[in-house]
Amino acid sequence: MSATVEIKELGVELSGTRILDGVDLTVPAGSFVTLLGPSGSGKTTTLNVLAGFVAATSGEVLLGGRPLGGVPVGRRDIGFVFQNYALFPHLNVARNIEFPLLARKVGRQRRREMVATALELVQLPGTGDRAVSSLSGGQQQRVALARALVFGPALLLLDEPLAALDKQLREAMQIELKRIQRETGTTTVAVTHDQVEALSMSDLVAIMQDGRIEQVGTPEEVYRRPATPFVAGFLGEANLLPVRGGRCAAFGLPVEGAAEGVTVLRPEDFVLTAAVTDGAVGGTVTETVYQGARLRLSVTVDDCARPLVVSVLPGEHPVAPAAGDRIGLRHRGGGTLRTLADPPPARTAPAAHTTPAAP
Amino acid sequence: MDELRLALPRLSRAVVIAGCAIALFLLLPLAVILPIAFSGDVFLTFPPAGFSARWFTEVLNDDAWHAAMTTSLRTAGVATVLATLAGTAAAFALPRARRGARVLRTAMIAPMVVPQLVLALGLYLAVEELGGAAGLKTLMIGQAALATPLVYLTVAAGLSEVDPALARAARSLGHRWPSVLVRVELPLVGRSVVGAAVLAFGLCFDESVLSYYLSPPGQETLPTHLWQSASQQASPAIAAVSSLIMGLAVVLLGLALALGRGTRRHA
Repeated sequence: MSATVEIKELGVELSGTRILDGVDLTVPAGSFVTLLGPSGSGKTTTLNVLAGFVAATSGEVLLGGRPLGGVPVGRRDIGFVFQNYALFPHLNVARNIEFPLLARKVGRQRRREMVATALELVQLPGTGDRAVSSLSGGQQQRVALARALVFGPALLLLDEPLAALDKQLREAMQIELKRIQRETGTTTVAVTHDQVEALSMSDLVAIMQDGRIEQVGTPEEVYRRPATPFVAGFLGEANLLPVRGGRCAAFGLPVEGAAEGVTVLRPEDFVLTAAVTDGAVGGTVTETVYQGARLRLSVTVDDCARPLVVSVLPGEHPVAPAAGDRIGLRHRGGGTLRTLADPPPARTAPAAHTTPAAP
Repeated sequence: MDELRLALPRLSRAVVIAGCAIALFLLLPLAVILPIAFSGDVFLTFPPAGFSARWFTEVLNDDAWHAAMTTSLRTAGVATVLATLAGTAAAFALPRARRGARVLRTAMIAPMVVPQLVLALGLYLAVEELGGAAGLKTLMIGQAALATPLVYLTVAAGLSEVDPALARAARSLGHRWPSVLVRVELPLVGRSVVGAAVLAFGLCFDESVLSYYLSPPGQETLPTHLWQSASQQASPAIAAVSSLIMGLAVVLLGLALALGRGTRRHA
């Protein structure tokens, strides 16, 4: 059944390049964890190490307490859904799904039952004898899921599961994926570069950069309380404001943590006022962009070097703010601001970087 | 830009005309041979006198021609099996080679560029040196060597159209190598392999240089026998045999093309 995954100090080096640089992550049994990061951050490599397609240079991976190092790909009890699904074009839907069962010497009658159950699970009952090529992208995705889950793996791996689908289908499949995962209770690790996807599907999100995990947390934690400027900037839009003497620049709000550094204010954290009232900061709207559900403003604030991104509901103000308007900007309050940690020092930083420059 | 666009249709028309002319020139010998094969005359003359299928009947009932045909079918058959095995194995193995893949690939294609005369003499001398006598078996090996690059290139092309994720998927689903090969990779390139075998058979069946050097007296292949009878007497029988070989080639080529098209639809 589903099992806990422990990734400890995982390092991968490919032809002299450090791809993973000490990845630590625990995936609780039955949970859905997403590795999120820009391309080249090491998320796909981490997934490939879990699957056994890439060998670790250092560190180890445990699945249900059992070390996976040296265990061949097919003996890991892991279901893998490939980005392009990798369905076998010469086999029909049922034969694709029973493929892992053939390797496990499951009898014919039992195979038929298991395939039917798997097709029910992904809501494609009765499609067993259809050709794979006759299915839509979303249906192929479901078949790939059924094939990866039919043998009841301890871990399900999803490589950019929704990247090949168009936007509307992608949103429906996010919910669907989450439902299937909850129903089977299979521990799941997914890789994506789409932040909305990561936030909406996962129990935990691990944000990766440069071969390391920057932060692990629930979707709300990583969005509302990013640990580093990178995480703040990668998830949604972030206004990074300098912190001096424990207070946030321009707004003078108290900030927890280090007295000097930067903190993040989200575009939706602001309240717009017509006049510069008490507690508000004066600014000038420089740009407005109508985005349907919200109005995105760029506001140049008197005490800030960079313009702030502010988001308001389109109907929120009787007179919509326009470029050139002089407005007041106030923090919405609620929640505490924290100073973001500097990016952790690179473990493999060359010595020259740490030597102070000669006077 | 406009000038180029204006010049292009004229240029492409010229190219098409030149292409047709070359094709006609290449087909001309066939246009001569075919009518002669149906000649009623006793001599190899053009234009033929009368129309009859007597030479086909004659050739098909003649023991010597029969024996030659059987020899050709046998050697080409064995050579095809050998070449298909070797070429397919190479096509699967080379992409996996950690080192020396380029050298190996060049070596695989070498028999295509090495002059057949050199290959024939080399095989002859090598067999003699090893204490054997060059015979039909040597010829089979030689023809297999000639056809292997063809098989290798065809299967490698087919294999390159197969998504490498499929083999990885099969492995991740619990199948080991032989099972991945049998259940996924071979079915997906099966058409390429059969197509390659058909082409290889066509190549070996009317291969003449190696045959001429290596087939022992009394065990001539069809091309050798054809050559010998042509040098002795100029009867339309030669044209009839040539037409038969041509017919076989057309059938094989059509078969290979049909298989190739199927592969692409599959991928």
